[in-house]
Amino acid sequence: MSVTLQKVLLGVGVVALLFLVAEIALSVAATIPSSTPAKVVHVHAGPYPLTVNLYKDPANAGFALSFSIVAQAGTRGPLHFDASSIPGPGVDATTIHSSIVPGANASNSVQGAAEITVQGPWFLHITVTGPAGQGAVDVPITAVAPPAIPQWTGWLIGCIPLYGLLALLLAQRGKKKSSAPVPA
Amino acid sequence: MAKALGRIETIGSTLSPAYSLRALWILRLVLGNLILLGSIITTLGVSWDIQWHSFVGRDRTLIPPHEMMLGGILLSGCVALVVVCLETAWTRRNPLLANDSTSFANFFHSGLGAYIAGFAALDAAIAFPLDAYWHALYGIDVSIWAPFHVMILGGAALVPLGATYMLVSAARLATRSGDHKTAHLGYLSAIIALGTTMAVFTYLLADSVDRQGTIGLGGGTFVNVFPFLAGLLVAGLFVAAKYAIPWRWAATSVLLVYLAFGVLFMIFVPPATNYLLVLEHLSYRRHIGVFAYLSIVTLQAWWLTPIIVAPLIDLFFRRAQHKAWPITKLTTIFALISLIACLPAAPLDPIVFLGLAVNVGVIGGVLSLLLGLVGTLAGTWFGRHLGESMQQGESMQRIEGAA
Repeated sequence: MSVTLQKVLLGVGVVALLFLVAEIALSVAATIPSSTPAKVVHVHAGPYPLTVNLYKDPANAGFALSFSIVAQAGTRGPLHFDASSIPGPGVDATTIHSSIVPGANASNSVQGAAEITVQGPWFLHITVTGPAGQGAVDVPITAVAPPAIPQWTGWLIGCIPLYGLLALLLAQRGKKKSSAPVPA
Repeated sequence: MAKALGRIETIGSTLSPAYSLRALWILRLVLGNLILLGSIITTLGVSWDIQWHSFVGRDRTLIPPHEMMLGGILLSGCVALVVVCLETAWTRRNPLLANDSTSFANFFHSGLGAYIAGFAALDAAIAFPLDAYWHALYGIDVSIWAPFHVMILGGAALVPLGATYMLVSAARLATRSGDHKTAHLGYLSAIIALGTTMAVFTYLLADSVDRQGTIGLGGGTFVNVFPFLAGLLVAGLFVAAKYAIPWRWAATSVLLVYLAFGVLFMIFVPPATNYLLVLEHLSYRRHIGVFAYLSIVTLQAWWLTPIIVAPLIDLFFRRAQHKAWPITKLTTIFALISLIACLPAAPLDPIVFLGLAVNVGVIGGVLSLLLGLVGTLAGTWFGRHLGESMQQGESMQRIEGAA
C-alpha cells in the first residue's frame, strides 16, 4: 500500500474518531435538559393536574428526549411518578421505560429522559400514584429523523469492513511470491 | 501508568536487541490477548442482543447487550491504539525493532495486527450511531442483513482477525528466541482468536437461509447464497488456521472454539435476558416457551456441518505435507471438503438444507451448490494467503519492501 494511501486512511480514521466523539457528546447532551422547555403541556393524570415540560420539540429519533413533570400547585401528598415512551400507530418500535429522578427545584416533580427510537408519532405515558389513587395520561410527541440516505448509499458505507478485508488480502497477495506447495 | 510507560520505554532504549525483541513479543502476546478478550465480550454481547431483539424488541440504544458489545469494541480499539503507540515509541528508540514491525504513514511502526484491530474496532464503533440512525428511519425490526449491522459485525469480526496476526507474530518471535512454551501460548490464543472471528462472521450467515438469501435469476430459477457465504467463511478460516498455526489439529481446534461459543451462549444468554427483562420492567413480545431457557443463536444459527470439515482439512493437510502435493491439488481438495459446510444444518433443525433445496428446486439447488464451490475455492485461496501472511508476518513485509 502506498504511503499516500496510508496517509489518506489515517486521515479517514481521525475523522471517523472525531465523528464518534461528537456523536457521543450529542447523545449525552440530549439527556441534559436545557434551561427552557421547547414545549409545555398541561394535562390531568386522573385526579392529578400536571405540567409536562418537553425540552425538544419535535424530538430527535435515535436520541433521548429530556422532560420534566411537575405537579401543579395545590396538589396534596407525596406523588410517585412513572413514565414510558409508547410508539404511536404505524411506528415499528416497542414501549420503552423512561429513566426518571426526583426534580431538584420543586417537590412532587421529576426529571427524566424518554428514549424515542423511531421517527413518527409517540406518546409519553405518565402514571402518577398518590393519596388520591393512581392516574395516567398520554402526552403526544412527534419524533423526526435526519433526512434519509438512499438504501444503496447505506450499503456502500456498511460494506466498508468487507472492502478492508479485500484490500488486506490483495495487499498481502501482492507482496507474497511464495512458491512452496505446502509448508513443512 | 506514566511510570510504567517510562519503564517500558527504558527497556526499548537501553537493553540488548534480544531483550527488546522479548519485550516486543510479550507486548504482542499480552495486549493481543486483551484485544481478544474485548472480542469475546463483543461476541457474547451480539448473541445476547439477537435474543433480546428476537423476543423483546429493540428499545433504547444503550441497553446492556449493546453496552456489552460497545464495551468489548472499546476495549479492543483502545488496546490496539496503545500497542501502536508503544511499538512506535520503542522503534524510534531501537530501530532494530523496525525489522519486526510494519510502517504506516511514515510515522507509526507496529505489527500489522494492531492496525487491523484498531481500524476494525473504529469501524464497528462508528457503525453504532449509524445503525441508530437507520433504525430511526426504518423501525426496529430490520434484519441482521442491514447496512450498519453488516458494518458492526464485519468490523467486530476483523478485530479478532487482527488479534490473530498479533498473537501469531508473538508466537513466531518467541519461537525465534527459543521460548517454545510462550510460543505455544501464542498459538493457542491465535486459535481462540480465529474461532472468535468465525463466530462473529457466523452471525452474518443467519439471514441467508431465509428469503433474503434467495435470489431470483428469472424464469422461475432461484439460487441461495448460503452455500457461497458458508463455503467462503469455513474454508477461509480453517485453511488460514492450517497455514498460520503449525499444529496438527489447528482447524479442529478453531472448530472447537466455535462450538464452545455455542455452549457459552446457552449458559450466558437466557439467564441474562430473563434477568434484564425483570430489571427493565419489560416482558417478552409473545410466549416464547423453552427459548426463555435456550439461546436462539445456538439452536438456529450455529451451523453443525463445519464439524465434519475441520478434521478432514487437518487430515488432508498432513497427507499433503507427506506426499508433497502441488498447491492446486490441495486447493481443490480443501474446496471439495469445505463443500460439506455449504449445507446448512442447525441443532434445532438438522435438515434445514432440505427445506432450502425444496425452496430453490433441483436446478436452483445445483446452482446454489456450484456457487458454494466458488465460495470454497475462493475461501481456500483466501485462507492460504491469509495464513501465510500471518506466519511470515513482518519479516515478509521487510523482504518485499527491500525488493
